[in-house]
Amino acid sequence: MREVYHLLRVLPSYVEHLEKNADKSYLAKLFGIFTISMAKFTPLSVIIMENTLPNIEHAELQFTFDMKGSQVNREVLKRKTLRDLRVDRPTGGQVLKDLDFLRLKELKKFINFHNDDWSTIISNISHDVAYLQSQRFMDYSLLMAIRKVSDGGEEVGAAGESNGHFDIQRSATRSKRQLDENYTKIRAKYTGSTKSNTPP
Amino acid sequence: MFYSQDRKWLYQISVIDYLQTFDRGKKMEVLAKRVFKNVDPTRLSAVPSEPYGNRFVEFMKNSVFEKPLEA
Repeated sequence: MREVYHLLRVLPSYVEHLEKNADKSYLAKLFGIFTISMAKFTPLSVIIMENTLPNIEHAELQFTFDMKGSQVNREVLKRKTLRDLRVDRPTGGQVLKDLDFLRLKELKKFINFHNDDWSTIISNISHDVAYLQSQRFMDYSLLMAIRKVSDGGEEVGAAGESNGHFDIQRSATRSKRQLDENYTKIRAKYTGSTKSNTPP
Repeated sequence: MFYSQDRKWLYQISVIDYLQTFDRGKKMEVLAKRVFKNVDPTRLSAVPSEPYGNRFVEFMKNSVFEKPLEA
């Protein structure tokens, strides 16, 4: 309950922060708080937040990390030796922590950001953290999902480095189209109609 | 969402679980760990929000998102 009261107190500043940084903030969005009271039970508060790991069709989830910058008790794959890690399958949706990240990063070399992306990310994170500090929040984690892009790769390399941004856009629109198609399919299943509400 | 330089990897980033404040419960957690487990309090996840955030950003800057080498 205490968290709920604190949250209600800081809500105006939370909204302000998100409105100012609509496309920059990495904070998982808060959708609502509900308190359920029933006779003979203590009230139960439920907070509904955004799912930050939507399924992307053309990419396969390899690793998920929850990182806090703390070193104590932040390892899930403790018993795995480096050799195990090298030959094991990717852990997909299993949530790994800081120390696992540090080990796997060396092994799998999956971290290489563009220079611009790096600056953007660090500046956005610092901004979010400054806000969280100002409201005395703590114990938050950075959730990072790493996916392997199944197509792309060689195809893009052959097309040259310079049109990188075009390619990102293309795959973004493609996955949006797939989502729309899926949505139509699901709708058809439940309404019995094949008419689509989504624009072509 | 971000793509890696070699375009093999796709990253999704978000900050979650941020609704905890450094209240009495957390202070007790630090005390308990210091007394019973003899852990250095600055390395725990339970530290006040100011140093917590600073450490968080430092870790992201130095260990997670490695600064790319200038080409």
